[in-house]
Amino acid sequence: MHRIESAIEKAVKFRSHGIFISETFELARRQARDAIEKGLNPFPVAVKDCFLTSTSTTCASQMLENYTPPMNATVVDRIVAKGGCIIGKTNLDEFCMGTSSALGHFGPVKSALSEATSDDWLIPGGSSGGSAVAVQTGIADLAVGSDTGGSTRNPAAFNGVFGFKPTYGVLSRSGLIPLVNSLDSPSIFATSAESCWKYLEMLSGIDAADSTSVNLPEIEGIKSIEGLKVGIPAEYNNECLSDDAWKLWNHAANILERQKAQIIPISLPTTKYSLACYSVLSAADIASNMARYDSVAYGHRSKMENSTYEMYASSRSESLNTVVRKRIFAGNYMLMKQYRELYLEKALKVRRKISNEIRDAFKKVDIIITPTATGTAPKYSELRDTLFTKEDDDDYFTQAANLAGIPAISVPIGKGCNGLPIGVQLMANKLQDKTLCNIAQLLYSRVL
Amino acid sequence: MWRRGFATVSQHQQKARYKPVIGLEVHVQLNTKTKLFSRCPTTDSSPNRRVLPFDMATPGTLPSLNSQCIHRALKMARLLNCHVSEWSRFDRKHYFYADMPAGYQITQNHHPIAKNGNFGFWVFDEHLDVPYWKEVQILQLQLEQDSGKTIHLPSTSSEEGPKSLIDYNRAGCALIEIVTSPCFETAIEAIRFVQTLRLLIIHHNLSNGELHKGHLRVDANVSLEKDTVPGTRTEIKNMNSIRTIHTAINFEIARQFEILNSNGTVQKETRAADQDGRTVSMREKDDVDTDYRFIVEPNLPKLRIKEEWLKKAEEEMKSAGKADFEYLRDVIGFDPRSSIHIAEDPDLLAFVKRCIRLRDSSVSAEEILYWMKQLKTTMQRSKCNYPPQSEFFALQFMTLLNLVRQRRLTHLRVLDLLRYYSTSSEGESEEAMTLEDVTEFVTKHKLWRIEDPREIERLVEDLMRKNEKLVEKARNGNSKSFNRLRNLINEATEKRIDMEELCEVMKRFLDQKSI
Repeated sequence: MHRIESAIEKAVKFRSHGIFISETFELARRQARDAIEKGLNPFPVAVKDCFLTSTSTTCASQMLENYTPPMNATVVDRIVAKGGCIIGKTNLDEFCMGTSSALGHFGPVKSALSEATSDDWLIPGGSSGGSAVAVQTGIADLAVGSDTGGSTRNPAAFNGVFGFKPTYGVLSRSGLIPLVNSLDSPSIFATSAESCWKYLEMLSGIDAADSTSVNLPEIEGIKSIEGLKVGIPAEYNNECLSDDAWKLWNHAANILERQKAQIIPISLPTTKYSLACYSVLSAADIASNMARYDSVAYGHRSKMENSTYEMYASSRSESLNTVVRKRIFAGNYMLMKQYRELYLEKALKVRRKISNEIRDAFKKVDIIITPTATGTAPKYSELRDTLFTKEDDDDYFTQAANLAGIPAISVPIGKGCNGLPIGVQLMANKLQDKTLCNIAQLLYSRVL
Repeated sequence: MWRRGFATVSQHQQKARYKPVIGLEVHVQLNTKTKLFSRCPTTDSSPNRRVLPFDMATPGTLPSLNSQCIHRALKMARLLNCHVSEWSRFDRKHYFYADMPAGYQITQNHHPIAKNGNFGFWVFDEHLDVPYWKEVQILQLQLEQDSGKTIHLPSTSSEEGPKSLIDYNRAGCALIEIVTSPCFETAIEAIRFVQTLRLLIIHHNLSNGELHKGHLRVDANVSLEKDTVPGTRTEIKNMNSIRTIHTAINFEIARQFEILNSNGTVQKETRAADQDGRTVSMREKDDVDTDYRFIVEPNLPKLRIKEEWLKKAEEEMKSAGKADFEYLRDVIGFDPRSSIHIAEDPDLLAFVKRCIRLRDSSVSAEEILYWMKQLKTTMQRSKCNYPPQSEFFALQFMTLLNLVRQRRLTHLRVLDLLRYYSTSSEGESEEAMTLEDVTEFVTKHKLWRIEDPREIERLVEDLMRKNEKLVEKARNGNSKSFNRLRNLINEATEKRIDMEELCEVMKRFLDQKSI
C-alpha cells in the first residue's frame, strides 16, 4: 500500500511533465486493497492510453476525448489480477503516430531528465513517451506501452530505462487500439531486464480474444554469455548515427566480447528499406483501422450534420490531427486499385525480404546488437525546426524487429557527452524472449 | 394500323435477338447461435441489445471466428458441390455506411472458403408445357459479416428534422454469399433456383430461411446479350421476396430492351426494386465502380480446413437425408412444381405428410393431388380453412381415396363425404368429437356404390317410369331433360350409382322404344 501511495505522490509531483492523460488514483488504491486481500503484493502500473480501460481511453485524440470503453484490454486485466494497480493512463502521440509524444490533443509529454519550460523541453521519445517517463520518474514499476516500429524501445533509450517488445503475438492485442495490426505488440517498460521478463510472464499466454496470440515455449534461458554468437550488422552504422551512440554500441559489444561472446559482423542490407516498407504498410492499415471513427456510435461528433457524409468528414477533420489525417490519406491512396500493386504489394514483398534476411541471420548468430536510436533525446525545438524528420532517422533502428515479428529490447548502456542516456538494442529470434532478457540483464550487469 | 402491326412483328424479332443474361448473389443469414466473429447471441431482441464491443467496432476489439459458421459453410459447399479451398482468408471491404460500424465489412474476396460448384433444379412455370432440369455454375461461397439496420424517421415537427436510428443487433451476424455465374436466362429460372435453394438450406439447418425476415437477400446482375455480344449489366440489390425477384428481373429485362431498342445505352449502375418490383436507380455513392480498397484482415490467421471438419459436414448432410420436396418428388412421385409448392407451405406439407403416412402404396401422387384439389375447392366453397389439420381427417381422406379407387364409392358420393367430413371433423365441436370413421358412416347410412347391374337397371327403370314426361323429352334428344333426369335419379339413389354407368343404362333404356 505504501508503494502505491508513494507512486501517487510522485505522479502528482511530476504533473507538469504531462505523463498522464487521466489519473486513476482511487482505482489504484482499490486495486491495491483487493490485491492485499488476495495475498498479492500490489505494485504501481502505468498504462499507455491506447489500451482500453473502462475508466476512459483517448489515444491522445480529440476523437476519443470523452470515450469510455465497454471493456478492459487483456493485458490490463491480467496485470491487475497479479496485483498491478493502475495509477493512470499515460500520454502518447495521437493514435501512436509519432516518436516525440509532443503533438497529442492533451499536450506534450516532457522528459523529466531536464527542466522543462512551456516553450521547449527534452523529448521523451514516443509514441509511448508517458509510459517511459512514468518508469524513469519511479512512479510505476511497470509501464505498459505499445510498439509498432519502436514506440517502446525509442522512449526507453531516451529516458534510460529498459523497453522490451516481445515476439509478435506473445502479448494479446485485445483492447489495444491498433496502429498497424501485424506489427503492433504490447510492450514493457521497467528498470531491469529481469523485471521485463517477470512482467512478460505475468501478461503472456494465449488469449481467445486475439486469434494471432501465441504461447511462449518453455525454454531454459541462459546464465552466461560465454560462447554466445553476437551479430553486429554493418548497415546499422549509418550516416545518421551519432558518435556517442556509435561509441556505446561498441562499448556494449566489447563487454560481451570480454565475457567470451563471439562477435560476428553480419550484413542486413535490406534494413535500409524498412522505413519505406513500414510507411506503406502502416498507412494502409491506418486508413483501414481509422475508418471506424465515423462519429456514429461513439467519438467526436461535429455539429455539421446536414448529411451523413458531411458528418463523417467534419467530425474526422475537426478531431484528428494532421499527422493522423496525412497517414489516412496516404493509406487510402495506396490502397486504390490502380496503386495497390505499385505500393502495397511491393511493400509486402519487401517485408518478407527483410524478415527472411533477419531469420537467416539467426542461423549464424544468437543475438543481434544495434543502437536503439541515432543518439540522445532531442529538444522539442530541434524536432520542430527540422519538421520532425529526425523521427524517421530514429525509426531506422527499430522497425526491422516489428517487420520480422522478433523480440527486441533496449538496454540503457550509458550516457552521451551531454549527459543524456543512450540505449543499445538487442534482438533475438522469434520466441527467444527469455534468452533475450537474460542476455540484456547479463550485459547490463557488466555496464555498471 | 398495319404500321403498328409491322412494328410489333419487328419488335418481336428484335427481342428474340437479345438474350437476357442473369447472375445472382444470394446472401444467406446463417442460423448460428452467435455472430460470425463475436460470442454475441443472435436471438431476437429489442434494438441494440445484441451488441458486444466487437459488433459496434469498439476500437481495439478483435474478431475471432465462430467455428459453427465454418461448419455451416462447409455444409453449404457440399450442397452446392463446391470445391473447398485448403485454406481461405478474410478481407476487409471498405465503404462508409452508417450501419456498418467499422467502416469496412469483413468478407472473403480473394480466397473464399469454397468455389467452383454447380447446382441443379427443376424449372417449371404455367407457361411451360413440361418442367426442365437446369444446372447452374456456382463461382464462389464466401463467409462475411452482415450490417446493422438503419431506420429512417421522417421529421416530426418544424423544429426537428428527419432522424436516422441505427440498430446494431444484426451487425456482425454471419452471412454466406453465394455467387453464381451469369447463367440464368429467365426470371423464372432465377426464382426456381432461389426457391429450391431455400428449402434445402432450411432442411440442412444452415439458415432459418425466412425471406420476410431477410434471412435470404438476393442481388441480381442483369444484362441483355445481342448475338453473343455481352451487354452492359445493372445490379438489382437486396431483394427479399420471390415475387420481387421475379417481377424486378422481368422489369429490368424489359427496361433494358426498351433502351436498346431505341438505340440508347444501358448505364452500368446499382438499382433497387420498389414495392411493385420496378427497378429504380439507387444514385448512391456505393456504385458499381466503387473501389473498396480491399486489404487482408490482419487480425485473423489463414483459415485452414481440417479433414475431420469436412467429414463431419458430409456425415451430417447424409444423415439429414432428403429434403421434404425431394422426398415428395423422388420417392412419392409428385411433379416438381407440386413438390416445391407443398414443401413451401407448412400446413399443406403437414397434411400431405399425414396422408402419405396413412397411404396404401397403391395410391399414386396424382390421385392424392387430384383429390386435394377437389378438397380445396369444396372447402373454399364452404369457407373453411384448407388444408384440414386433424389426423382424423387425413385418415378419412385416405380411406375415401382407397374406397373410390376400389370403386366401392362413387366419385360424387366421395365429394359429398369430403365436404361433410372437412366441414365437421375440424375443431372441437360435439359433432366433430362424435364423428365416426367414414367406413362405419357409409355402412350405417348405406352409401356404398350399387355394384349389381341388375339392381341398377331396376332402380333406373323404376325411376324413369315415374318421370315419363322427362323421358319423352330426353328420348327426343333434349339434352337438358336428359341431365335433369340423370340428376333426379342420382339424388334418388343417393349418388350410389357411378355416373358413367348411370348414363349408359339410361341411354340404353332411352334407345328402347318403350319401357
